[in-house]
Amino acid sequence: MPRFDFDRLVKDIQKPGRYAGGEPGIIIKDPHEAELRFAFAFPDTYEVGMSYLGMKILCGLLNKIPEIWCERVFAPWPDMEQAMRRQGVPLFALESRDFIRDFDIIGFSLQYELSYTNVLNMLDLAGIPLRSDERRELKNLVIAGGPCVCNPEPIADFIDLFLPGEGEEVLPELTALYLECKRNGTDKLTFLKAAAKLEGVYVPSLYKASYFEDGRLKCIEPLSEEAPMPCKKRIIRDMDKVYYPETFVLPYIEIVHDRAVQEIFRGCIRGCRFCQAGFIYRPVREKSSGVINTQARRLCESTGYDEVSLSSLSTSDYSEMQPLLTEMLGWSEKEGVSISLPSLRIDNFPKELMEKVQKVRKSSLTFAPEAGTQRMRDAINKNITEEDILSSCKMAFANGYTAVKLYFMIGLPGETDEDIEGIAALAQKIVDLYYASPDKPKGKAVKISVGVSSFVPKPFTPFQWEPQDTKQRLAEKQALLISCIKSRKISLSWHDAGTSFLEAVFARGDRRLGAVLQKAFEKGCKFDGWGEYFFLEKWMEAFAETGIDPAFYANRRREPDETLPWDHMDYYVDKRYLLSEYQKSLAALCTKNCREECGGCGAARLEEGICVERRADLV
Amino acid sequence: MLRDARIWFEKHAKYISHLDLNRFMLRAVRRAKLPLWVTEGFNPHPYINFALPLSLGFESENDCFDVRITEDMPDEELCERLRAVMPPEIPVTGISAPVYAFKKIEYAAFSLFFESEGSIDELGGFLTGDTIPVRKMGKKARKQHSEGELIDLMEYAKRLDFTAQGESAGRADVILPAGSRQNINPQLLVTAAEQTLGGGLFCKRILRSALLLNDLSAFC
Repeated sequence: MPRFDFDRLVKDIQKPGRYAGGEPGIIIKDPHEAELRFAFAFPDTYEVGMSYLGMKILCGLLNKIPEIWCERVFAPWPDMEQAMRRQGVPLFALESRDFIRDFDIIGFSLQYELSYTNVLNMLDLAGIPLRSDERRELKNLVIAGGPCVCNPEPIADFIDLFLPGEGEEVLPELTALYLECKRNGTDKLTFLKAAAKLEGVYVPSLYKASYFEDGRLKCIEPLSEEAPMPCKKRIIRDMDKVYYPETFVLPYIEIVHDRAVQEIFRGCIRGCRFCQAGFIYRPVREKSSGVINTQARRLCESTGYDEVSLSSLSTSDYSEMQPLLTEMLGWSEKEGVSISLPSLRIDNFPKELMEKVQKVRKSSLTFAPEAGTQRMRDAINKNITEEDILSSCKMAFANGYTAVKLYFMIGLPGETDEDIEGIAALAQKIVDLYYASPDKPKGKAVKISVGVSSFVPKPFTPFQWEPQDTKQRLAEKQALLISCIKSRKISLSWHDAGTSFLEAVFARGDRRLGAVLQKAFEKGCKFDGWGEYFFLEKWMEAFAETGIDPAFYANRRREPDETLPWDHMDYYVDKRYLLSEYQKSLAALCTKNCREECGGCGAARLEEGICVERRADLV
Repeated sequence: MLRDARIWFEKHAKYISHLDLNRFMLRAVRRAKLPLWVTEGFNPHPYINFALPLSLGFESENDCFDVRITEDMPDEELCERLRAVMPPEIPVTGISAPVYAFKKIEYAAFSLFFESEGSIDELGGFLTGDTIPVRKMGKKARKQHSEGELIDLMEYAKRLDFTAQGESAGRADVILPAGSRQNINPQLLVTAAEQTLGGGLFCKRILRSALLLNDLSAFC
């Protein structure tokens, strides 16, 4: 029996389909038989959350357990939030429309630092106390996973336990433990101590941070013997055997990525020095092509999607790409399914195969050189050369392309004016190349879109000690770049430096930021990642009122011997290795990719994936 | 051998738009593995043609779309295959050979379910009066910040009955122009009642119950 009138609630709401539920593919269970109610909470809109593969995997996995009913909940857009608060309707789950405050576990996915205020806002809308220490009962256990968990400290006040690493194995273990404790009436602290012993669980309340007088972190130490030190992330060892959903919940309304998604591997062989994902998901572990083919075909059949996208970091590094595509094209063409690859290096790919996978939407070509000069690209270990880009563009122009998108970062460590000017020069070279191509599309102008974002130093990267450029310095660099663009064929777009600044603060923050987060939430901050709802002034007030200097976190150089807020988290990448990568960056030296040579990052301790492949080669 | 088939369905998933429904059906017919003719354009997709778009927020009891069948397959099997893949909110009710073209649709029958904070009789009196004035705020009117065109819905309604359901709820059944020639959105009845009677009124549900020809007989 619904406890509120949904139709009245959404009467004047935009996109009510975001909240209606009832999509094909959802799992409905008898609430009397579901002993453990789990809310998978995504702190962003329906359209963003529904595009996220991790949610499809973990919801599917949990719902296979008979005692558990896992439902979805997303952050309501501010118009809906207002209606809910006005009509006194607390946050509810999409499937049952039951209130989140009645759920056993609320599990947040932390994909992006700027969604943290939405986590607080969703808890508040649910009527659940924000701080972990205000929630005395086992019920309403608030947990979190996702890449941001590699530095959980800034949001640690609000989360009972984190799941560093991959969730497919630890979630069933954790929920089994929860069920046992719920049945026995075990108290929350006893549960948390037992949970801390599971590999891939971090219970922040079992650790204490202390600080030097100058504000730097002195140490984080465990308070109880159950708390592991360091706390290890969890990985899936056999990608062929791990659960993968046979079908997806099919959204009625249009979402960001509305297609079948087939994961092909985890991790990345590249090790670009700015990229957190390239380090925290190590080692590279592939699914075999036969498994991918079977899973992708089943997914298309069960959903009716006419597009399947092969998903991973740096997709074209999959070792069996050509046999895989040949196998998949065997059924996909007949069944009218197109295969898309989110990132494809077109230089090393047979032309016939490329034409087949890119049949639709032949309009624009995208590169992410990230930096304007070869020296800078070597320093960040982005192994793409100007020749690669120009030869790919030349091929593309001959094939009818007229638009090229280029992504760069500014504010990279060791960046000079020359590197900024290099961005404009590279874009100009592509314009010139187009007009010099004899086989370019006739009578059409070329369009080069240059997207520029500001570099954010992240934990577990070789740049984790680096200061972020100040807003003023970034503005100067922007102005320089604008003055270097001479052609009307080149358009520039910027990522807001204010959001990048906040991202830098929270990415490498410590536990003291919890007070700022709560203050910002009280001031009404939410959807900070959405330009129209980002208010830097409110954030600066929150910093001032809590006596915390954001520049201490974002713009200060940290010394190699400084204790970092995430030093007690073990992601199988050694600090020593990150430091050596940092030093190589200063000398603009590249590091070979994992497939060419083992760099000794530490992931080989796991004895899985590419680390073992390499060893087999060496023997 | 190509033949056209008209597939009848109900739509109770009221918060999805016409475009959403179109995308949903394309996926559903693929899941059902119907032997459908596929368009030969730049982006080939099964040919699906809906009779009459349904606004977001409306339900329908009697809707249809046409497909083109490429194989010899009995209607029963087509119907079974579709039924197996449809969610409970969008059930397939039948399949028939098309008799009329979609452009023959000129009217549609709607039922509107009201709830009132006060007595429902006031609404009943208003809806069964001689005129139902309403300001029609089209796109143009909104753009120009004008008050909109004043029309009388009774001039368009072919039938309008009101049945009280208890003291604070009631149901209006109305036939209004619908189709390619002229469209009067039944939502205007709600707007008219709100404009004249003020707040306290809530239209809980708008249901399109039938598609009709010029002589008000059923479209099929």
